[in-house]
Amino acid sequence: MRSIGPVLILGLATGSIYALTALGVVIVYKATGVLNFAHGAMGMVAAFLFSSLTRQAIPTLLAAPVALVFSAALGVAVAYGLRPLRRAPRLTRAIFMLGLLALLQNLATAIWGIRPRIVPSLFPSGGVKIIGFVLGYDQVGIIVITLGLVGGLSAFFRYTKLGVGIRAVSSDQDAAALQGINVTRITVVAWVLGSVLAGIAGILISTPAADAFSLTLLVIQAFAAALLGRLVSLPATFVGGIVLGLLTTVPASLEILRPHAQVIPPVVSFLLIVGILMLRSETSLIARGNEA
Amino acid sequence: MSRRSPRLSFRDKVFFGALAFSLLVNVWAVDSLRTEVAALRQAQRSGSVGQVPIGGDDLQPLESTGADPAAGPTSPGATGVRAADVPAATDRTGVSKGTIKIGAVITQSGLADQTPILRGLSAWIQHVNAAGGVNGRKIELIVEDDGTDTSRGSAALRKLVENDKIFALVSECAPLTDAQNVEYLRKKGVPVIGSCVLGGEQFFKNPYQFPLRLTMGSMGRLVGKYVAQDMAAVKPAVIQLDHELLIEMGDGVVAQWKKMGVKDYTVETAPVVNPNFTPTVIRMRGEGVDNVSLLLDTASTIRFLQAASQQGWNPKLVGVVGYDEEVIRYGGAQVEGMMVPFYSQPVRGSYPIMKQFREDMQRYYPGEQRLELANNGYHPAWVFTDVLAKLGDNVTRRRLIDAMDGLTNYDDHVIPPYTLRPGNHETVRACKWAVIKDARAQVVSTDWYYLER
Amino acid sequence: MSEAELRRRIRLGAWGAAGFLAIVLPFVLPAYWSFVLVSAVTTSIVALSIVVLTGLVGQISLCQATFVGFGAYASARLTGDANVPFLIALPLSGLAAVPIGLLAGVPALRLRGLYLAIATLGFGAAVQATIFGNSTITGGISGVSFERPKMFGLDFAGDRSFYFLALAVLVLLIVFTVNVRRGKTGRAFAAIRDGEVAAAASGVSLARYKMMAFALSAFFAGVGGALFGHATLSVNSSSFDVFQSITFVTITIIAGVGSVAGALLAGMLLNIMPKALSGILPGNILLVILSTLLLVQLAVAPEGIVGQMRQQEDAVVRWILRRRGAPDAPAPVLEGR
Repeated sequence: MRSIGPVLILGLATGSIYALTALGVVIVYKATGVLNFAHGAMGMVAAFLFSSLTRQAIPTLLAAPVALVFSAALGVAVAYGLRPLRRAPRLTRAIFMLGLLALLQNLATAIWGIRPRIVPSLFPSGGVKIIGFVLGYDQVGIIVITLGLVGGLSAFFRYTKLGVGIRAVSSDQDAAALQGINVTRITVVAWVLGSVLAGIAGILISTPAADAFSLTLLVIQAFAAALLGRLVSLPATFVGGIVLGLLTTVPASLEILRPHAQVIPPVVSFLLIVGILMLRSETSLIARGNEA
Repeated sequence: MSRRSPRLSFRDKVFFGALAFSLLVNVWAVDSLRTEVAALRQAQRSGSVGQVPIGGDDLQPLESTGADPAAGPTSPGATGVRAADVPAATDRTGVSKGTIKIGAVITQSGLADQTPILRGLSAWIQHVNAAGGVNGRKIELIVEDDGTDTSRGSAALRKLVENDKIFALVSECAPLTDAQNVEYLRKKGVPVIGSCVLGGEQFFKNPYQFPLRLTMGSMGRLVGKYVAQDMAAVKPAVIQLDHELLIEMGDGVVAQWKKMGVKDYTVETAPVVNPNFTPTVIRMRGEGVDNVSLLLDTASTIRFLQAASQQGWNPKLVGVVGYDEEVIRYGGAQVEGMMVPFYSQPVRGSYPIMKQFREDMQRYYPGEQRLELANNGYHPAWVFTDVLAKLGDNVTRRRLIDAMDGLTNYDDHVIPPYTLRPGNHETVRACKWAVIKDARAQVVSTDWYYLER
Repeated sequence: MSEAELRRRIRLGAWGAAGFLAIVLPFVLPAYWSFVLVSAVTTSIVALSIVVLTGLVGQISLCQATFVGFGAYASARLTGDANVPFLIALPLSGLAAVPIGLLAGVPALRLRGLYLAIATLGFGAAVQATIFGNSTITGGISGVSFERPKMFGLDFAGDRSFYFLALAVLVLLIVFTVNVRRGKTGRAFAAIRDGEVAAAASGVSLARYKMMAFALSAFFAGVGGALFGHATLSVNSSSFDVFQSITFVTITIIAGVGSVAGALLAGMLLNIMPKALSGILPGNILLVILSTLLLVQLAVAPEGIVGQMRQQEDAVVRWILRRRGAPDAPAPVLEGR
């Protein structure tokens, strides 16, 4: 591409997608210590459900909340499914999430078949004219919604009782229990939040078509974004996502790298993940890893 | 970390030596793989497996196979294809007094769904059996599902061949499994009549396999010719999905453009996962591209159409999945005027066999919507029973293969009349064109559009 | 009879029965089942590589399929144009996967548990995108082809004969694993698994043994890949993607990652069970049910199915000892994990 402007803006749009996906991962991890490998798969199920509902001529603005209700139910199911494992090492619970990933994929294929499902956009078509190209309303919408969620969730964590409870549980579960906080309820709330966020990401990102794999694999980019945000702070996660977005879009626009454009997101994410994890010497990240 | 001794122990030296050696092995393996795949591609690009004996064909012959395609199954090719055991002249597997057993492995679950093919196949077989069978023998059909798992598919294939002892595979369609088992089927001498649209070059190299269709490269050439000649494109572009078959097709498009002297063309490869076409659209528009051929799947085609309309760009379009109702419904205004190639008679047209096809589908599988796909199962079965009938009472595998290899100007009423010979199993290079108008694909070709005429 | 003696007899009996079945099954089942058995063996070899890495040393890797892939492609080239004899190409293919394993293992020097899992997952995805996804190398959908070997005057073109060949390789690898576990290396491995800090404090070189573990695991997986390729006669890159890696690891952990038996069980779960049930239920529903059962199994018994079997074994041992009038046997300590 000739000018850098459109590339940067597209990077911003892509980055918002990564950030949006990462939000749910971070919240669940903070509250429960479980890294949700199945996050993308949960989003995929919501997107498929949304697609089916709209096919039945249900208006999109009604179908989306209905699909998200199912996401919430899924979150509750996962929270209770994990209860027998609550004292198990963190790794075992992560393996459980991997198994859930496989289950959700098989379930989606069994119910909806394998062809990509058409997912209508929640936003009108057309877009905003910026520096010589058009940025779709849906992309603008994602950026705005992500920012809104970051702000709203940060406020939630700071000012509401539930939010503070989640923060308490995430820093020290036993102390929180001693304080009278119902850890089980907090865990369920966190999972519902994470699952609904996955659903929102799934529905917004999957236009025009959702398939069973790309969302599931998006979770790796989400991990990278979350790690950039040090897995604790939502605004930092947002910034992390944007950075990742730019790091993947800008190189892809260079002439030399264009044939390899699709290779860049996973490779960059991997390098970031390993780099960040390896370079952090003694922060809470590695300290938590010791429990594995 | 423990303190390391300053000198390397013998074990360490052995280890590092082995490591260095294995690195070399890896580099050599990757390079060697690349060379072999490139040779294969080159052979595919420079033409097809054989040459169609229609006048004026000037495609270059195969370069690196080192084999004369017309020599039949005894000469090895570039891929190390060796002479296989020819099915014995008395091989009557699957044939009994009252029945002939045929089979197919068709992907019905897992990551792909070719079930309409099964329905088309089954509908025709039921039709035939209801009319008394072929020369007094009923056709028994056994179908297995591979669940898109090659292990399962390979096991299912072996079951059909060795356990159920089928006579032939008809309308076989399990893409991953089929690709893996070409060798096996060839060694067993099992005739295969018809195979998926999703099959590659190797199926044409199996002397006992009759895909009854064009190679992807030829399909591409037809698109290339139409774009350059009939659509008078000045600066055409082709966007191919990063999938080997569509790249094969794209290579055909480009080969045809080169042959016709088109100099100013663009080729773009789109990733399979979530391609973002906005940069592509912006770039192509900036370069003055006026015609885009979309060799993509449904979802990516829709993505491109949406990106193009969002940026306000309206080039002329050719879309290989343009007939898909999802493309028509969600593609937006851009879809109107898009050209779509059909490599067989349009299934919803008025051609007699298509009417019969629709009747049979209505009778046996009334709910089936994906008729194009179902026809891919019906068509080979119909050819099979037609050729089978000509064998009379003496039905052997060898006679079936020889009969197929002897078809001359054979009109199966679905694709243009073709001539098959040993080593040349590609049918005639022709298609029909339709335009998307008023949310429907409307056929504009009155007759077949040939590559070589 | 002492408790240890009793246990040994039970174990011997179980292994004997398994060996007997392994030899007899291909003759008893219909011919096309031989292919399923071959697949079960190659999967068991890959599962064994996971047992070595995760069960013995406690390192998690979500990119085993990557090693399998390198082994397969290396073997294709070695036995193809280079005409290397099969028996030499097999260990060479394993060796070819070793540098990849070492590369994947580098993060293990600093990371553990979950973070190592993420890093290896990312590694697998990156390799899948760059190398396996590159159809100029891997041949795309038609993939790369193999031939069955001809050795000692026998042609292994038949699935049954190849099954016995693969079985022999599996047995060799099992013996190798057991030897490693019992030897000095195995003790170092166990020390690392049970507590890295303590291990390092007692002089065990973490870096060297972790790298060794990854190398060994990659070697096994590479050999499994080579056998897989020769078994199926053709591979394409979809067999080595991230989802395959995830499947291998989850099934092996569910079967029981601490022991060789777990590896064998994993091979059976992934191949024999779906095939045996495939006639009864439509494919997709079957997959859903299997995945659900596996998930439930994991929740109920994180130590794996083999762990549960060990508990059964303990119960049987206690029962037998009590019947024989031995004073109440002390609560048996679970061996290994």
